[in-house]
Amino acid sequence: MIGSRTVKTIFRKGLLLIAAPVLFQVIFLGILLWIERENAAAERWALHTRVVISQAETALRRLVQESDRVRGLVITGSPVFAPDPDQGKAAAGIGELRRLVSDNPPQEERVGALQATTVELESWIAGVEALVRSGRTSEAAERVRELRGERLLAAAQQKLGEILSEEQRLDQERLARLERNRRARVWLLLGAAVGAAVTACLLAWAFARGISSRLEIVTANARRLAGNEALTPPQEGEDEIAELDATVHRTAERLLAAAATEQRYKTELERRAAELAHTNEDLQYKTREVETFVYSVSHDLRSPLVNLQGFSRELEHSCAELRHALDRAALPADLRRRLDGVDRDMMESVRYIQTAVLRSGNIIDALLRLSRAGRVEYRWQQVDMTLVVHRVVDAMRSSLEQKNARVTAGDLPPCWGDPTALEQVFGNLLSNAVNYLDPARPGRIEIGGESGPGSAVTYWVRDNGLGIPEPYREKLFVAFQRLHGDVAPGEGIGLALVRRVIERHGGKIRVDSKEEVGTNFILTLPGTGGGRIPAEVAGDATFV
Amino acid sequence: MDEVTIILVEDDDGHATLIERNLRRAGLDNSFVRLRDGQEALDHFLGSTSPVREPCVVLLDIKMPRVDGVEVLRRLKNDPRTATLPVVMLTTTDDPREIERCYQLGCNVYVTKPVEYEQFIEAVKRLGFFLKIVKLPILPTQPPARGNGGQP
Repeated sequence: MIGSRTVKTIFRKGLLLIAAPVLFQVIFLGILLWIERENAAAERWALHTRVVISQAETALRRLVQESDRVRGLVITGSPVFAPDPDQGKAAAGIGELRRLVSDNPPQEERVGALQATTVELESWIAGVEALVRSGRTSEAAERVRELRGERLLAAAQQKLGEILSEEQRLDQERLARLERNRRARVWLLLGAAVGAAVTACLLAWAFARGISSRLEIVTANARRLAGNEALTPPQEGEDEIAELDATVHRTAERLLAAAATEQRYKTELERRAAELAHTNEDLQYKTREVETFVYSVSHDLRSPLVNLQGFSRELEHSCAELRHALDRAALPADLRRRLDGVDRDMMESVRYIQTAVLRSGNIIDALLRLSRAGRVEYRWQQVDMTLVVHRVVDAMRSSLEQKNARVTAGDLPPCWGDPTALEQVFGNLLSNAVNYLDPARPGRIEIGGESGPGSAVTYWVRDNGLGIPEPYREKLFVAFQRLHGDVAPGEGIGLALVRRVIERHGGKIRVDSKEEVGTNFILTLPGTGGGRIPAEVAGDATFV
Repeated sequence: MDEVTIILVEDDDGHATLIERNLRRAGLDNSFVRLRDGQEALDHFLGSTSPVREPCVVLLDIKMPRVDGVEVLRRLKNDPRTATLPVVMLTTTDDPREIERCYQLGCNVYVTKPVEYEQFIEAVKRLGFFLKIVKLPILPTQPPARGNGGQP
């Protein structure tokens, strides 16, 4: 894994930072140990010198004692001066001495010479002693007087002195070396301490410099990333700072890619929204076009209808005149009967024509009203719905009384719209309710309203009339669909008109109904809160 | 009233016949001039060889070929020679916007041609009543003053 490798790299750097002073301390400790051992050796040698000196002095003392004892024996002949069996030979002590200085050849040579002198002195002493013991005292005295023993002793003493001075010199030398070592140790300690500190500082500085400068680049890159700026090129190296920098770069790439994707989605969304808006506009335009077409066609149809109706009336007048003339004229009975038949047929034809024309005229009027509902320019304002409904109820008072219906309308919240169009809406809903009341029970119509949901306002017109069977509810708001064709006159555009007006207000209308119980029309309209013009209507000016 | 000429601008022969017959039946016996479209009306009132000298009332249909009634009304009211002519708009339209536009342009009365015959008679009778009322201011002011001014 890349991670562990890079961690090792930085670990190694950190380890180096710790290891350098540790190495210094180890070397320093080694040197210290070596100096300690040197000191121990020096002390051992100093002791050795003491032993050698003591041994030499003991041997010399033995020689002097032996010489004095022989001299006493010769002079007195007393057994007091007999040899002490407890005391070893001086030569044996010298032999020991020789073994001690065996590491130092010049000294060993000196000890060897001393040993020879000692052996000679001891054999002289033994000879003198043998003479005393055999009674040749004078001969023994003679030998003493020869002073050979004195000379040998002096030679041994001189040799011993040489050995001692040599040993003392060596001792001095070793002490001096010990002193040197002690001083060296102090300097070493100081040097090692300073060296370790300096090295540690240098390494730490280098480490910090290497890491912090690189970290600074990464931090700057991270800052650029946050500020959405271009990043510096990726750092060289394999440690985790380089890896971190690489990660920052990868993150930047991802962010760029994400931003590009977002931009793409945004553009797409905008395109779709524009398409939708365009389609919507197109639809509105087409609705307008259809309404304009309907308006223009129905308008054009009116003109021939005026003629049809007018001339059928003229024909009626003519028929009446003809009838009048016929009544006065004296005609044969069978001719009069035939002419009566013709006159009846003519009158009947005229009536049919007039009925048809009237019906066509009503349809055309309905079409015109419907198309106008979509075309007329609204005067947007806050509408006092209580007043509007009051006016509507007043206008319908006579038909309400005729149908024995009672309308209750409380205070209604105001809404935002065109008062004339809304009056038409409530007029149509109310007349719809009145027209389709159930004759079996007294009519009850309730008009109500409340604010909400949101900024919208909800109104309802509820009756206890015939009700609308489920299958007809969908067709309810479609023009020229009449459910109870026989109950009331009309072309069946009232609710289509209502829906168109509500749609133009940006509102909604729905119906709850139960057969033989009643119907409830519920409509929502924009409230006065925003004082806004509904989106559907905002484009109106373009088409009007 | 008898001196007032009724000038009917109407492209539909049937309508023209019906209007004339019903006006006569309502008791008017003024002289009648029928013009077939807006262009003829413009030629009649504003043409260089304009024959209009006598006091008159204009009955203007709106939907006509070539020049429509609203345009004729606008031109008549914009010309000082004809600005005071009483104009009655006669049309099948009952579009409130169109009615408003005609009144803004200066029409005196706007009558919709109803399909219902009784209403139509009523409208024509109102028209006749109107003509009887407006005849007085027309005679001394408009045609002689303008006519003399306009003639070389």
